[in-house]
Amino acid sequence: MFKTNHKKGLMIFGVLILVFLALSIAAYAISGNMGIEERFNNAVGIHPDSEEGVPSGIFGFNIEGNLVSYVIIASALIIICVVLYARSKP
Amino acid sequence: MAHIHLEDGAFTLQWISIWWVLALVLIGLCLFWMKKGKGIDSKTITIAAMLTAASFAIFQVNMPLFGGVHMNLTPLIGILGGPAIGGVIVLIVNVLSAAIGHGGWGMIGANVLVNMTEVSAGYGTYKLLSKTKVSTFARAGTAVLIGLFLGNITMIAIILISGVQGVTQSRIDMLYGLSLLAGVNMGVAVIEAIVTGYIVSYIERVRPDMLRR
Repeated sequence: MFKTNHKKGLMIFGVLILVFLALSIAAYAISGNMGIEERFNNAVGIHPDSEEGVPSGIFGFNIEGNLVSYVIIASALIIICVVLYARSKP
Repeated sequence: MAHIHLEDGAFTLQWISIWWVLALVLIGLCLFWMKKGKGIDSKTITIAAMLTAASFAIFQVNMPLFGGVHMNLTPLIGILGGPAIGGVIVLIVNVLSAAIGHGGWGMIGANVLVNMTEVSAGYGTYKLLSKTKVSTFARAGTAVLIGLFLGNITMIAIILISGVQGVTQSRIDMLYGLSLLAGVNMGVAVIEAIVTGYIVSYIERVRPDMLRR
């Protein structure tokens, strides 16, 4: 009984994944290759005055917003987590 | 994931105020709910801090998929933290994101509403499926897909209701463009669903108490 439900659940999840994947590939094929900002502007009809170049980053991964601020805030959050974890330990 | 990537000035001041007020009312309800419920112990605060850090860190990373998309782990926040703490977390993440230049300050209210939809729908779907004997991986993954799908619908609704200043495009054209955008967003939702499914399954194996809160 448990195994049947597990399989059924996984099958439904698998079908959902296939449906959404097909949907996203179709949407990508129609709209074309664009960055996030460009895709958004295009969707709502904004035509920016200057085209901003997309930074290449590492293997195509890049940080949105200011990199230095990102590193500072992320580091501060990690320090807060470590302090809270140390204090919450019995 | 869904996030309104429009700069300040895209919405009128009236709509920016409305979305901000609505978001603050919901955050107020979250805080009231947290206070009225079991209260917040140090363990909950630690989990909330970790979810905030993880969400902020991953939220800013632009992935080279479909031209550029990013995850935000909002349904995971809902599953592990619940909608009340989740509401506060998404507010903090949106404020910090605006601080580094990812999203406008005026858009925080609208984006909090979008992300709260994802958190609540993710949490609700996960809890609903808990009554069935479906595996944790499938439950969490399905919760992510449904949460992010509803988040995209909320995002489209907010933009269509507000309208965008300075554009000549009709609402129908806008709906078509935003539907394509939401479709592309659902591609990264698939990745987020699989990642979240594995994370939640792993947590259930090593720290099941975290999921029974």
